[in-house]
Amino acid sequence: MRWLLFLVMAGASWAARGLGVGVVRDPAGSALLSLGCLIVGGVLAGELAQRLRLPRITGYLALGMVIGPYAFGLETAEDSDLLRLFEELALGLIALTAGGEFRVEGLRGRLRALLAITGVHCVVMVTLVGAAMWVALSWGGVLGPLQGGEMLAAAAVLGVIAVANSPATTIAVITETRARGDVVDIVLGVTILKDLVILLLYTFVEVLARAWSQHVPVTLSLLHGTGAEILLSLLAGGGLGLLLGAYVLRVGRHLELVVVLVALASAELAHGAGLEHLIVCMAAGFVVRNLTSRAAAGFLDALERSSPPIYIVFFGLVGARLDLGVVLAMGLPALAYVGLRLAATWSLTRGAAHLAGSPPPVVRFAWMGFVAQAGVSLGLAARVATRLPSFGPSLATLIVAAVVINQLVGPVLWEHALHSSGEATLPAGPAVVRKGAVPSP
Amino acid sequence: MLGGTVAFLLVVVFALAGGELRNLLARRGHRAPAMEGLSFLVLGYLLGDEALGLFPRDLIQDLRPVVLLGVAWIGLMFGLQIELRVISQLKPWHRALGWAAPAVVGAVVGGGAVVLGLGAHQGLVLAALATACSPATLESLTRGRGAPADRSAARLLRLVVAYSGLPAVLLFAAVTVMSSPLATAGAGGLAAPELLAFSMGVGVLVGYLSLALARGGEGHISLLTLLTGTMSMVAGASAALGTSSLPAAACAGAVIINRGTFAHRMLRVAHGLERPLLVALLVLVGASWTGVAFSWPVFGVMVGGRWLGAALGGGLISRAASRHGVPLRVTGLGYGLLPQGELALGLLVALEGLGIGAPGVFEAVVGAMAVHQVMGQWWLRRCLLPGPALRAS
Repeated sequence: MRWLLFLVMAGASWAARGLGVGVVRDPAGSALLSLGCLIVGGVLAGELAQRLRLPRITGYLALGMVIGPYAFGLETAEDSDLLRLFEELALGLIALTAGGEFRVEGLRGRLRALLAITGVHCVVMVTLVGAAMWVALSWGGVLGPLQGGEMLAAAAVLGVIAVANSPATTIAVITETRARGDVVDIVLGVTILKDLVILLLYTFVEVLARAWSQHVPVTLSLLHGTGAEILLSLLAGGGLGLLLGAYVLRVGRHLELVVVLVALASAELAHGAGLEHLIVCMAAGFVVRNLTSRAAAGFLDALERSSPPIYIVFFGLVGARLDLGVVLAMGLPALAYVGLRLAATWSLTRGAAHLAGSPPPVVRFAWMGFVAQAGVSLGLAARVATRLPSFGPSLATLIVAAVVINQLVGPVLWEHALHSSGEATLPAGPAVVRKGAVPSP
Repeated sequence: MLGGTVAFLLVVVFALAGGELRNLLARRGHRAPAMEGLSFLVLGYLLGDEALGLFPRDLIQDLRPVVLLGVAWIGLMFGLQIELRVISQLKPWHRALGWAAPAVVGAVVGGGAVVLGLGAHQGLVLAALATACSPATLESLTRGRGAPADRSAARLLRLVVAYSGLPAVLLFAAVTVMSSPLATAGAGGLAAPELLAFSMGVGVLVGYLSLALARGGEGHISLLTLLTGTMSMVAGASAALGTSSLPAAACAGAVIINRGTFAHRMLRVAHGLERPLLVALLVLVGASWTGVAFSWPVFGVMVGGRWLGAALGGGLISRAASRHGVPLRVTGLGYGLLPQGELALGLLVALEGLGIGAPGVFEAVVGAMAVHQVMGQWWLRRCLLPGPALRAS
């Protein structure tokens, strides 16, 4: 009945927009219509996904894909632009949560595993996937006729992007299942560390790729710039975290709204000063959690209360940007790349965790937390398309196709890992579905 | 000049400050919500193009989704107060008076506009704006410190003022559909009655959708999210039709309150977001105000017409009361119709957003609303509340 009402309402909204086409022009109204459909439909889709024993965010993503510009077009690309504020806000909240979940005392016994998995991913996986893709490219000609240097550059880029993860998805599934334990701590820690390293790694590979494909001299000034950006982001985030911690301790009122304000302020700060929004917020969350520990409980409570509605909109918008048509167009090459990445993630994570002496659940299940890809990878794909013009656009299409598949598979695997390892404190499936309920903290 | 995000941040901060100020005033027993509203208007003005220039016009345009949602929310709050069970318990003459007294105010203003040559359309626009009164102001004046000299009069006045929203919203709905580009587009468009029916239908549908979705959703955040989603849909669909979302959202609110089993919880949840959105609207209205485009004729009609209409409406209330055996001991009761609150603000913002009304109308109506808030309250307090001697006795 509720789906029927929603579909009738969505149909009426679509009819209203159709009637107004060419007569009434109101982009803000159109964006609000999309927002409404994303929220209402997202609640229903999340509930349906949970009935099917899938993570709620898979429901949000699927709804976004269905109503997005690549399918029914109820939400247009222009709407997505106008709703970007929500994306920034959601990313900020997610990063604050990620930083806030990262406890120094929890690191002591897990430092070896963290460093081992991160190191193996950033070095061995890049090399392994890059080499395999170089063989595949020289054999298959997926990206069209490429010169030797271009092929090497494309393979290197694909190797780096295989390492990128989606901190947003990792955090959203942890929040949804209220999971706690070794697997959570290690996957979250590695995801955060990789998020710091991936920018540097990508910049380094991009410099090499441009040298190989465009015969531009190798210069490390770009790398210095990226390093400085990360460092400044960490410092700015630290300052913001101290302020936030002081507010939580001394004032302690309207915390839900204040964390939203901090996320927005960080987005604006990052935009204005050329910093990395995600890193600023992660650092802020980390500082509140670890340097002003008395403020941590209130801060995390506020985050948990204000996040769920934002997740619905954020993942709906992410879904709207996923183009299934690209997957169909890229077909086998995308599947091969995804398969290769999956195999590398599985084997390397298990191997590194085992060597680091991690507990068995980490060895068995942690790899599933590194499958999902979203914002960072899509951002890097866009950068590839512009920075490497000779083969970048077709390479970006391949990356986007792989991201779509990974983002659909990743959350499902990650939730499965949390349940299988026994770290999820909420049971899976219809037992926890409450009609009309936004996933509550 | 600020970026869109910073502007949004500032608006949220003002909303927070507004909530705090209100709490502070409430704790001290302050009874002048008008001053709070006016202070945000003035703040907005200071931030706007006319003063500091921090909130220029194009930035206000960037914040239009907030404005549209705010207007829909005001409509929802209004609709959530239309309880048919309560209305049906009123005496027929109370209901008739509830329609007639505000209608007199609207008719005087609308007629005045026509006489001054502002045209029938402007007349209807101004009449719709003039009809809306402020129950909140009256409530705050007649509760707490200093009970009114005549409780029957105060009760009757509260009833009439609470009722005034209905004719205002209906007239406003008619004006907006008539002015919609779809209704005036000719072939390919929709006739005004069809547009009105479609828009209200969307509102009713959203009301039922909200109820169906909220069934079982227990938490405050769950309900708030759902209401935000459904109101975004109403606001978006209405904007796509070139009409205002306020009447459609009022329909949704009326469905929720009359058909829902736990509607009062939704009312509480909706009330939580009303204040921040209202403050945001006040700040944005203040920032949009420009003295250059100020229509003195409209200002004159709105101030003079509403005062005359209020006097006539007050007379009507007194006569109707004495005819039904409720003699009133106070004079100047009609001044209770003067202060204008959130509903009038919502109507005004919606009109400005739709581009209905001649240049300078918006500025003049804002000016008139400010005058009514201050002077209306002063007069009303003199008429309705007992003097020092009586209070001492």
